[in-house]
Amino acid sequence: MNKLKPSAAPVAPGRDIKTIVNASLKRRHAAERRFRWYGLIAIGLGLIFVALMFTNIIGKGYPAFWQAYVQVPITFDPAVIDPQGNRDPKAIETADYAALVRAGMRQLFPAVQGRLELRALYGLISSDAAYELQRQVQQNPALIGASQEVWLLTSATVDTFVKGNIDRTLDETERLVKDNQIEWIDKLLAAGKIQKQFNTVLFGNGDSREPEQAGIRGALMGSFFTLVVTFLLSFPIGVATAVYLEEFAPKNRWTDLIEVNINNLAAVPSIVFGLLGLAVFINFFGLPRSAPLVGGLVLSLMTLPVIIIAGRAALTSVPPSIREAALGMGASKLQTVGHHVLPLAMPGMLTGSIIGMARALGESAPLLMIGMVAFIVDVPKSFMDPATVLPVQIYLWSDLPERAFVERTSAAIMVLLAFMILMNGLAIVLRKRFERRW
Amino acid sequence: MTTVTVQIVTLLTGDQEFDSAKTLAAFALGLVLFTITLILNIVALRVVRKYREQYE
Repeated sequence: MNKLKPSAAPVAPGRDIKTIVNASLKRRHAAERRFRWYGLIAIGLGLIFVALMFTNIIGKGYPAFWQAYVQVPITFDPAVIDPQGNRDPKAIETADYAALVRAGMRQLFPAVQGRLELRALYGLISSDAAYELQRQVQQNPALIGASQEVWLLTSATVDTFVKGNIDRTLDETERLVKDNQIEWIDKLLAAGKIQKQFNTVLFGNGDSREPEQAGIRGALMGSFFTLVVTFLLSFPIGVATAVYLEEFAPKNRWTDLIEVNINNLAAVPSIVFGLLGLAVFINFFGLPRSAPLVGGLVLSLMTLPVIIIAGRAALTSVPPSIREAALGMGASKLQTVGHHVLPLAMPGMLTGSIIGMARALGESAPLLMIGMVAFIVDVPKSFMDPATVLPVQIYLWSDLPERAFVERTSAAIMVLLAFMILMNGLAIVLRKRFERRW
Repeated sequence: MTTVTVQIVTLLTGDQEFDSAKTLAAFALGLVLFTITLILNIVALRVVRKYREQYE
């Protein structure tokens, strides 16, 4: 910019400011074009990485939404299910349905003989099949004595093989699926008796050690309960704190200190909140481990600073003329804030809290500290039942060695990402619709 | 290579008594993490305040 000061530059006769500036215009425009290109390249790189991540996860997780089922002819033999003939519920519940499954498999392949061969044949079906038959009989006792084709869940190795993830060309000792099993599976596929159906097990079951029976329902319910507790605790307290700090608090050293602390807590790594939860809620107050209540308490402590900061920003954006007009009309301070300022600032507060909730949904480190890392099979039904959340479930599944868990982990990641996109999208839609520009 | 967070998780996801040395070490790591974040935030606040004064 020194060129623009006429007194500093050596002024040749006839060279005024306009010519000096025009001479440097080309370089300025080139620099601006370059800067714009840098920006576009940076955005492009970011988008490429996002696209890579999505294609990777969706490519790995998409097969998990389909599960291989095999159609087996089952004879609901009354001698096995209901030997007394009186439809006693206890007898129906404890009957040996596994024997019925085995009889059905033998009916499919009558040529198979010998204990080892039969064991390999029975290994094609998941251990859940017996419980599936039990559920069907309990729902519809008229089935006893009937014979019909039932779709049963295949074991995880068959499922992995049908999806093409087990190498046929490997030596038999290195493969999970043996030659005779491959022969039977091929015959069943050719006859159309093995089909891939939509994987309702993934959304209906809790966690399990068997990949074909593992589902995310327990984690989804745990996440839901935890988020409900988080929202109920953090939103009212956060909004009230923001209103107080912005409208009513005097400006002295104490409020300065509080502001520093809130800004600091918003940036502290989340695992510190987990340590706090462990030391105070579990050790001192004695609340049950792995309960969504404790998880919600920890996450609300984490979301509170975010909501307070967003709330304060929303309140500052309301112009002082609104407050002065309300006071001028005779409203008290509380009426001004409650009837005029707060409703106008609410969209901003809601946006901030939805974003805070989305962050809380994806947190796993603090919940690991309070014990939500356990292997929970039952779907939680209340706030005090032991539970786990979706990110922790993904973390646990990613550690397991079975091949079938790889695609289920990616499918769970897809579900989690879908929730995040939904929540953040909701925040953006709300902001666009209700934001007021002063 | 490891991070503080990973070490805290490793130390605490096991079963030991609450006041054993491992648990206390995990809490000490958490305290260090919190202190570092606090110092960084105070420095950031000072910097922001200093530059804000010049335009007032």
